[in-house]
Amino acid sequence: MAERKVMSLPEAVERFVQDGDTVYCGYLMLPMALVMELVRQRKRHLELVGASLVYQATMLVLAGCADRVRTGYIQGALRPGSITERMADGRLRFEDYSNQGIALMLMAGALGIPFIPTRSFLGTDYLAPENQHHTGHYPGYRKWQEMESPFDGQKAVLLPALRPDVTIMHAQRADEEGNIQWWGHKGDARWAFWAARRLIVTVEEIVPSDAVRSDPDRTAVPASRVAAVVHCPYGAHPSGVAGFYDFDYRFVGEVLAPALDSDAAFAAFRGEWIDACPTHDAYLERVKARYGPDALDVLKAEPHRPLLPVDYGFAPWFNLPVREDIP
Amino acid sequence: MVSGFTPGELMVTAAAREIRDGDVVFVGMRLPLVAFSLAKLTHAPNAFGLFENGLLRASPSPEFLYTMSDTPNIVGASMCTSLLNVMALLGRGRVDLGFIGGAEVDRYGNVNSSYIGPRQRPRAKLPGSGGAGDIASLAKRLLIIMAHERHRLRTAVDYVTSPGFLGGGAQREQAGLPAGGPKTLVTTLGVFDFDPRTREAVLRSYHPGASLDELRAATGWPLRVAADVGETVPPSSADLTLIRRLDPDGIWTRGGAR
Repeated sequence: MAERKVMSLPEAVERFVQDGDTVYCGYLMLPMALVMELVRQRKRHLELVGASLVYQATMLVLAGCADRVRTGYIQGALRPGSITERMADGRLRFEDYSNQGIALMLMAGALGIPFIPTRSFLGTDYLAPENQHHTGHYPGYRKWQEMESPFDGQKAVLLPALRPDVTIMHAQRADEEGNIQWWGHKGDARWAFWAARRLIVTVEEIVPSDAVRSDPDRTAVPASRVAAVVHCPYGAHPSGVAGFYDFDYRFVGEVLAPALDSDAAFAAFRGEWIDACPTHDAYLERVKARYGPDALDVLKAEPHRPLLPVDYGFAPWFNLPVREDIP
Repeated sequence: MVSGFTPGELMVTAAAREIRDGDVVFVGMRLPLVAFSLAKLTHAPNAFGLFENGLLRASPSPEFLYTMSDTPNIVGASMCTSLLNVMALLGRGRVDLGFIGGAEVDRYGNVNSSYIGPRQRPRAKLPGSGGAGDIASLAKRLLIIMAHERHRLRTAVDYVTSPGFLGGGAQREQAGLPAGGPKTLVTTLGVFDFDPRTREAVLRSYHPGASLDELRAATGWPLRVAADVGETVPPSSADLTLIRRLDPDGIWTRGGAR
């Protein structure tokens, strides 16, 4: 009997995210329902990784769930009282790379190789002697190593492989076995699927396995790499999902972004939008209560289907001409 | 009839003019989103746009974009792929022009978007490189967009996130970086080129309404001015009509509310 992969949001987070885990938390279709569940379950000492982290990561830092970050970019850094203060008083350890750097590190993690070279970072202050080592949380490990290629002498920077303990993602659909399908822009998430030890994915739809297997180009990662699938419509709100809904910039501008300005603002946001909402459905109801019953409907995407269907057809074997000279 | 224009509209026009027809352009965020579309619709119909989220576009987005990751940017793209595919074009020298912004720039086009103050004890943590450091390292031509203020155009930046010509001369090449580097610096007051020998920023034009004295006062290094310096050519009324169609609420070009 196959392992049961489809489960509730609380069960997935409870079973597959542990305090202290390194967590890849999305790039574009943000796993917001999963992020809010991490807050609800009061996960602690998480390390957040990803090429460019936006409000999902800042939320987890302000919620006290995460105390380490490795990224090329963090949104909200300029807002008062968040990232800089926490770095200054030691509550947050921050390691900066670049988008390409993190994506390469995830690829190395996925391939099982120990490190990977890049031509980025040469000549920059990332490589200044005082920035060569992590700020304390990976004792003994260098952050990178500059070297000349043994093959042609070209200068390069070696980056260590990155293997998240858990990758949390949102995607368009999955089947009950756990095969994940997605489309649209993929950022660094393609390799984050493959680099993770455990993978939790919320999806807009659970579809029959026949549907998945009829269009395998759409599959991001096979079921064998997936720990949990959660059926969670609007699980990326207020970010967007191609074919389903667009970004909710009104909510981001009026509710979420101001909540990242201070601990007090975040506490108020958390009380109203996370702690008072025991489920993601309750959160969505609150969005509708604030912005009207059609608040989510207006975000819905208009259909935009390919002009030509994709055809994976083949000629039946028994119709093929036989080569008599093969024994 | 269109009359008058904002600094944002002028900068978008100046940035768009740096895009040549047929260029492969690493577009980035904010103003460049509008500049790329403007260039496509005017003098560079064959420019090809790359977005680091993995989108490759031969046509402008059908809708206004707050960010490159808005779902309309997917519709009509030539390819939807991942960040590393776009970086593959960059790494192999297939990107003609890249746009970046930042908090500080020095006269050699080194850009800081990481820290104000020392890294180990910063006064402010900035958002970081994103793809800017990769673009600055690997694009053939780099266009830097910056608000022109004395505390931003500095003799030395606090942290080199995105390499320009480092200390000038041949230092960029000596560090192992591919040829390329900063081509143009567009600020709220003027447009700079980089001296091909010393690699210093040289003022090519000042924007209408800005004076050389104002530029000197707002520049943290001794301003070098091209012998044939002139006024930045303002956007035409056709440019302005297009910009206002591309950015109807003025989010990126007229300081509109988000």
